[in-house]
Amino acid sequence: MANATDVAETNAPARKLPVEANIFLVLIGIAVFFEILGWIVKGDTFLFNPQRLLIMVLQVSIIGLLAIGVTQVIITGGIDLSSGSVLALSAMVAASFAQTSDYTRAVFPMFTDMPFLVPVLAGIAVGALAGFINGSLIAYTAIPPFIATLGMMVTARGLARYYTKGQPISLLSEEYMWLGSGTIPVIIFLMAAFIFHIALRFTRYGKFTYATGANVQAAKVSGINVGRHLIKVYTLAGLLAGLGGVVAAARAGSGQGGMGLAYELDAIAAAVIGGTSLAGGVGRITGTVIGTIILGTMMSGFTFLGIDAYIQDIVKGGIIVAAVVADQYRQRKRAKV
Amino acid sequence: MFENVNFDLRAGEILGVAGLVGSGRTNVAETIYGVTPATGGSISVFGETVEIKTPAEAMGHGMALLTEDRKDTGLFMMLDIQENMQIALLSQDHVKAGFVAESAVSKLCTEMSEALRVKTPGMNERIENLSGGNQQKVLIGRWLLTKPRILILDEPTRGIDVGAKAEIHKLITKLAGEGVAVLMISSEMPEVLGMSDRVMVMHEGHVTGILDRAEADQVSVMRLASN
Repeated sequence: MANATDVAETNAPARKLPVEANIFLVLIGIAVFFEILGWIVKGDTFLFNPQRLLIMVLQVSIIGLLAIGVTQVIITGGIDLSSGSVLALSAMVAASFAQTSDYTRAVFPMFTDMPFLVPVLAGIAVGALAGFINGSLIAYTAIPPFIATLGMMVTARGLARYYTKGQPISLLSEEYMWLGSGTIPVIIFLMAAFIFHIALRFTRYGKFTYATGANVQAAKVSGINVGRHLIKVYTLAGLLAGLGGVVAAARAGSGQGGMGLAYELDAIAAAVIGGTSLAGGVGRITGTVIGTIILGTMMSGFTFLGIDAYIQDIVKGGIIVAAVVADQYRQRKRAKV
Repeated sequence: MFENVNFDLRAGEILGVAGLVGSGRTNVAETIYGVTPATGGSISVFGETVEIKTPAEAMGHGMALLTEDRKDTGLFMMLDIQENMQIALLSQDHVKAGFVAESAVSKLCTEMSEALRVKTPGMNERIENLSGGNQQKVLIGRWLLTKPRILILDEPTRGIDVGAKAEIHKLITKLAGEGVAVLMISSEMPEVLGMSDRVMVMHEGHVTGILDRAEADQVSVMRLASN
């Protein structure tokens, strides 16, 4: 029990609500905004439509998987630009092992009608490998994460298209496509979020991730093998992008080299809107989940109001910038304390 | 950027390292501890010649380094007190199947915080809200939790208030009394002279002398430091 005078002496600010509470209020605000506009413009409810609520999350589940990975990368003070391309490559590889033998021109005629787990594990493994390469480049060549993952972004996209010379891979097994059906992608997203929320909060992996991002030099002096830790974080981000690819191919019923185009930016946006600081050391999966749902709500809201897709992008860009400005503001306020 | 720096550090003694800024004192400490790679030379710990290439290896040999610049290379500003204090401990112990043994670690940190009399409303307080002296105590606590046998302190009381300074001095003396070997770099003459059993003086990357407590005074140290 600290005594009362000690408390008074340190003059600490009163405990504030967690950042997530603020982000959640933003989400509520946006939803209410669309609800009101809905009644004015269309005379219809926006929120009280279960079907729409499901789609709201469903359409961003895959971006959400990428966002969970990139959140961890950003907490270490890095960035991952490759997740959208890695998703495409993983989707292609997974789809190529998920084809049925009904298709005479399968990519691997000898690997048709494979059990469900084969394409799933293949896709995840490819993603993890791409992430491992990202992490190794950053740890051992000391090039900035921006450049390493930019290289991977271009390379993985090229590989995804080269894999079948640009042809889509279709006629996937029913079993495999179950992964993309109904609410399954949402469940996968929320399960991944739960697992990594626990990992960041309660494991050594999580503590080292925050420490590395908060002060890399102090982390090294404290005995953390920072290089090896970064490889872990980037590998997991790649693994999540691979999982995203597996789900994306299942949902689309085919693998296409152009899948997930610019998803990495939406994923970064979801993380940043959710309170993850690009300066490193700060961020939570719960915030990222809310950030992801904010993106989904905006997409649904604009579609509901019949607003042009181009305008959606314009507004989305503004919101991303606003989120970063808010983060900078928080940092500056902190620096003054 | 130093050469021919040869010295012994004995269990239970405080070896002060004096010298002007830029004389290579911090460099020696960081090289011993594996922060900066060594280009030559050898280190033996308790009679055994060891090769130390990373801080983790140094910690494995019972070393701890309190760095010179606590903001730059010590503190995790956006994290709380416990997160700052437990980190070195976690890289060695108190982890089961990847999960931190939270209740045990929390108890250790709280006890350490109380023992060092860190003034804070709680262990979840962000470290940036603490005064310099209290921040320094948390960093010292980080290292004491690893039970070091060799404690390297680089400017342990720089920029902290008089009260905390006296407490830290008392603590260092107590640790040496318990058998910890302390290497203390300091630019404050009264600190070096008042605390050290022996004083090693450096000048431009060379050791210019190692003085016993009896022969070390302002004049003799300054003469060796400016050579």
